[in-house]
Amino acid sequence: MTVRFNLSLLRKLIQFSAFLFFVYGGIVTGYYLEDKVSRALPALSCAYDFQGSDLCTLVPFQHQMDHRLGEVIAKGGNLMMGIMPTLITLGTFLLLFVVLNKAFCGWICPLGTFQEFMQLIGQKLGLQRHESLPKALVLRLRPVKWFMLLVLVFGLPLLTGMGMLNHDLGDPFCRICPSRILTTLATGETTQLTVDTANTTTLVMSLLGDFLFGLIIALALTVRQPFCRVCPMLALHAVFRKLGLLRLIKSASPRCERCGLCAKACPMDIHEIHTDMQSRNVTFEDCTLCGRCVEFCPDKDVLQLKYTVIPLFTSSPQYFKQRKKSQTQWEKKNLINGFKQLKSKTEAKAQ
Amino acid sequence: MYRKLLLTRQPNMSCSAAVCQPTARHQNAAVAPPTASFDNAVCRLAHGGLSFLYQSVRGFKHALDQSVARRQEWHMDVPFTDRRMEWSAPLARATTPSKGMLEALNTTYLVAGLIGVLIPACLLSLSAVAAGVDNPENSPAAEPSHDRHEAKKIALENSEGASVTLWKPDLSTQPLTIGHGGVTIPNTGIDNYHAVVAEKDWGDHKEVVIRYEYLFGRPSKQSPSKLAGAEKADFEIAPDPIPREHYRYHSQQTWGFLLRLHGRPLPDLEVTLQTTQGSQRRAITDQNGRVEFQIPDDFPNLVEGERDQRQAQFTLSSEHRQGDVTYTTQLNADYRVNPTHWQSTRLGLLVVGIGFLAGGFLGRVNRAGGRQA
Repeated sequence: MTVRFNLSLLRKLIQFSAFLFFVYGGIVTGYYLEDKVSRALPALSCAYDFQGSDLCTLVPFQHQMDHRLGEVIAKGGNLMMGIMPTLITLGTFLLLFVVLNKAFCGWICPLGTFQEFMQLIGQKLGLQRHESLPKALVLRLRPVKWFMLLVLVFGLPLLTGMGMLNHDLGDPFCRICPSRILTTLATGETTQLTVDTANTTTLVMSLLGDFLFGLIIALALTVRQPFCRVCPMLALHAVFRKLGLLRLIKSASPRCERCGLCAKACPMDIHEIHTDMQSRNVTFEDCTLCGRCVEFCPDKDVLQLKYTVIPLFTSSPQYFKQRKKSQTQWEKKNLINGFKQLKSKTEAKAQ
Repeated sequence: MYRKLLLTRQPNMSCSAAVCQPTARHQNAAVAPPTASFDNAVCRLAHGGLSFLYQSVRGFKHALDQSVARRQEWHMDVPFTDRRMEWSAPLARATTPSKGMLEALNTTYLVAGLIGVLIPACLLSLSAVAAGVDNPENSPAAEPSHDRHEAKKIALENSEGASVTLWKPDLSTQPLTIGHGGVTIPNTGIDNYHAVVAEKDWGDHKEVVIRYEYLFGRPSKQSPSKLAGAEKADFEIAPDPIPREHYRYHSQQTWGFLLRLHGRPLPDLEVTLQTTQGSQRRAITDQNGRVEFQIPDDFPNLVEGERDQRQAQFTLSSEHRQGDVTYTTQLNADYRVNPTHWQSTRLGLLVVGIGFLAGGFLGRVNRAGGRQA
């Protein structure tokens, strides 16, 4: 690939197309839930977006915990009948997931695309972007996604279905998910951007959801992928990541320990890509298979994006040099640098 | 003698849940205090704090809504004066300066500290909810579980000589027996919309009433557009579209409907919308046989900021004469109070703004930390 056309640009084109399809594609696929493509998409495509073409798998999971499994456990019915819808949804999810693995996060997810778009704006506004968060902070954040998955996607809906919590906690993750507000706003719908005073639970959840949405917008200007780090979908992907056909493969070289450019390029700040010298499959639990680490690896064939045994994209010194150059040029062009240049030109003229 | 066929949904008699019944609170517009029948000290603390938060935000929303409500003009076709009188009671009470304004002031101070209390409030909410200290209407103790799979009853007046058919999502049909002044829709075991079609043939007058009911069961794998688009009667009003699965008609919303005679759209035909609350509206179909109605917001004694789960029915009706035969058709459906009465977009924007400021602050702190490092 050339300087002008690189993997990041290709990814952005795919992300943009996927955003259009999953947020507005209902015009093509249909209006009703039955018309949606899979109804178990491994990315945050929201069911509240009536114009969307698919919905994220976390929606049916919560619904099934609440209305199927929870009810069966509470009433003492056939447990297999209660769990069967969840297994069917999981099967559909896995069929899709196997094809692209965690690339659903890095290449498809509308919320991921939005955060990268905000990051782009932050960069062009000249807001200093953190190449890496402190390692300690990254490590502290990692368990949050598991909490989100186990408590918000499975735990609370299950307890609601069992009659232990009120109905408003049947879909707690959806109530705080920024994708719900983002995708509905993208279609001109403001009904999800509300504070719901129906009762204490709806009030707290709506406050939390709105607050989180604002927080993510602001953080995305300066920090890379702030919500992805705590997203329960990432945790769900992590469970099945060994099954995916697309993988990040590392053939460690002695230079790896001293370099660390891959870890700096990683939007999820996965330091292990650089430090792990043993593993061959380095599709770590936080990896979104965006491929930036491969782009910024200066050594030949050390990092590879492989589809089963077929290498799709391989690190090389030539590509690295071009990519690094284009990235530097791109980052120089921002509002603050523009003002600085303008100021220096004016001063030069005055002298 | 011609007597009009009337179809209405009966509430399931087995269900006595508070959410299914119009509560005395809404009829009297008096707010009942939340119950406090719990012993756990942590939950007591949670309840106190969250009640304050809940009442404060609700009061603030109420105060915000007042200014808009004063300016709002109601465009209703029929009994405008009556409707205004119905609305005047809660609005007049809201303008009394004491409680609402004080609550608003409380909230103004509270919003400043919102970021700090948000996460603990959420955690406390969960314990409070688990202990059943939430709004009594929504607490699990007050609400027996609904059996979503139970049969539904539909009242059918003047049904002598009528035939009723149940259309399933896959367009297969099942005749229903009229008895005890109505029909019972059996549990088909299929999830999705079903159509109940009542027909009566008077010779020179053919009458149809249709109602779409959502039944629960295993996935139907059929799009509701298939059922809505199917020709179920000679002359019918079909929703375009039906509310999406798990959604409902709500007041203030605008919905489209198609009028078809023998499957073909009927342009330039008058359609009447009538609600059980007494509102009436008329519209004419366009060249594609489509008509749009805004469902009236005609529930009496609404309390702004408070969830209201009452439902009423609307009926769309139309008449068309072709040759010697007169066709009449009705579409009957339930609608509920629009959630905008207790969901505030302005407050939502405010909270997003607070979140944005918090995010900016965190980003700044991180930047400073990054520079030091």
